[in-house]
Amino acid sequence: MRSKLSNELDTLIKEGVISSQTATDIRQYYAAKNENSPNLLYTIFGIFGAILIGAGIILMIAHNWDAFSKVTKIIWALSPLVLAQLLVGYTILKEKSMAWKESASVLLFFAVGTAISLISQIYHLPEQLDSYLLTWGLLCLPLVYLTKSRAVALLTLLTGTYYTIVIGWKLGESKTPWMYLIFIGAILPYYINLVRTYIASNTTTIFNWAIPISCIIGLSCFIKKADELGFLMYITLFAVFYGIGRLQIFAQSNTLRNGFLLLGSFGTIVVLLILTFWEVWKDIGNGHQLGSQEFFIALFLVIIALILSVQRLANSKLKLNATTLIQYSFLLIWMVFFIPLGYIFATVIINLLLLAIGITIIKSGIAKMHFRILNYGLLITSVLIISRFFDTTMSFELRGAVFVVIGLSFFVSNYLMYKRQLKISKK
Amino acid sequence: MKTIHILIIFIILALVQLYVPYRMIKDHEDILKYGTLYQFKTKPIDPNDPFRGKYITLSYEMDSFNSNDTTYYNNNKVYIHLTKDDAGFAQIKGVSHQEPTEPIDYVEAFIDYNDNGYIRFELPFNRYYMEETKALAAEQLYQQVNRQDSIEKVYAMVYVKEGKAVLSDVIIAGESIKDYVTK
Repeated sequence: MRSKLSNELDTLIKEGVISSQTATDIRQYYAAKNENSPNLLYTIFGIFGAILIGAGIILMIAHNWDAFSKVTKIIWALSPLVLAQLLVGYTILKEKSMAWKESASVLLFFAVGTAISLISQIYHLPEQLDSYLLTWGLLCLPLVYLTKSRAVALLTLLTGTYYTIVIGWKLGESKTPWMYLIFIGAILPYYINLVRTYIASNTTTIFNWAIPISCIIGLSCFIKKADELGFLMYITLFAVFYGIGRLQIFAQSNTLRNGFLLLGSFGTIVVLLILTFWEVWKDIGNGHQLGSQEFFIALFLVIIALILSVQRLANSKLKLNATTLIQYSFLLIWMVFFIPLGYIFATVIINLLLLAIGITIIKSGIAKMHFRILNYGLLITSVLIISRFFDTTMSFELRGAVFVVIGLSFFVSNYLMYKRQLKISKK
Repeated sequence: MKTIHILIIFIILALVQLYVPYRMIKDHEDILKYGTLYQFKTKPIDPNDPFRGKYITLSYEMDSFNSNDTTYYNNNKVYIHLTKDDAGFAQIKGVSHQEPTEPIDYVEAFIDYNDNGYIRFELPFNRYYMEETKALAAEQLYQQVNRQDSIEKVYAMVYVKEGKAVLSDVIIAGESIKDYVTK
């Protein structure tokens, strides 16, 4: 890459496009940039090497050689841990490169897991996956700040999420995985720092997706007895995501890199779509359990969602567009949930809201000449119309006709916008 | 933060990371050293239960009790008070919701189900880890021996101390399953 740039610069000087001084400035700029950024390739190979070595050690030792005495087995279980600790200590002391720190930290992460699991095996302990994952994750969490390892941050987030699933998705389990909050709470300051420092990096993008996905999975594990409040919790969580995704710091990022925004938008639409069915509102009923943990979690989320909404209002004027409707739809859901106006009213109002979101997204897609936005709006509107088939007893002919009309509307609207785009580009 | 500070915090973390396995080893060694040895008669396990890889799954004859108490719910923890029969095998002396305060031997167990007073529980020491290459043969052997009319010959040796238990060996015809399987 570097030599290609150098060759290009030489050609540009020869052709008289740039001066030799400009070429020197460009070279110096890239040299300085290269010095500040860690060598990505070394880091990636280092991490993968450490993961493979770590996994290899686990497999080899898990083989469980009966020929070894208990003491030998214990030494085998603990030696990778001590070696990895010495390696991490060395990288900190000698202030080694990020590639070194990442690799050593990943190795230590696996060594901790290996040590605990092997000691459990030596003493024939029963499977207690939740406490195993919790201990493993908590013992490695401080590494995220000590070595600033991004791979360990991601691995501990995965461990924490897995722990939550083990407890939360177990049939007949009444426990709530509260310790998940420690994982997410500890990773968040690290993530905020990452966003502030390296907003455009690929690692930040991975976290932009990993954190909201982990929260979506995690939240399901906190819904126990008051499950009717689940919709309220999720719509508010998605409003928080959308609000974060709309923060000024993400304004320059590519939309696909903004997991919070996309998951917030898509999640809101999905929850609203479910709430357009009257049977769902009938099930939800009116007697909400206000003293439940579900209610307090929803309350905590709504405070964050409101702060983000107020912040947005302070920065820009409120316009009636798709963004506003998606970000503030949680307010309407909260009102419908707690004002007893009957499930028919709730159903009608959510249908109207989703229709309005669909239409405003289509409008925005046309105005921006953006195919992806246009089709997203068309998709929402179409799914909403198709969903209403389940509520009515329409004849097959009529249903077929509506499908054809929806299909045609996709073609026609895309074609019309394509033509308009051509016309503008010719001008 | 200065490098030396980071290093000091890391050393503390490293010590905590080492303390956790140390504590596990110490607690279990204490049970093996100071606990009381009980022999738990095993019984055949569900043959449809898939082979688990590097351990065999054990099932015990002592797995239920009768009670009129309706507050024994599924997944609840119970304390099984232990005694020994004439041959030295573990027997149920009593059951309680709370941890016994008197100096008796007991183990923690979890209730599987409560069927109108017939309460089935699961003892936690139901895994015996073995060398990968021996585990399948050991599991097959375990089932075969248990199916024959020789139940007395198969038992687990479990050390018990203050509600905690450590499975130390599985004995078939007076021999450790690890040695028996190689015959």
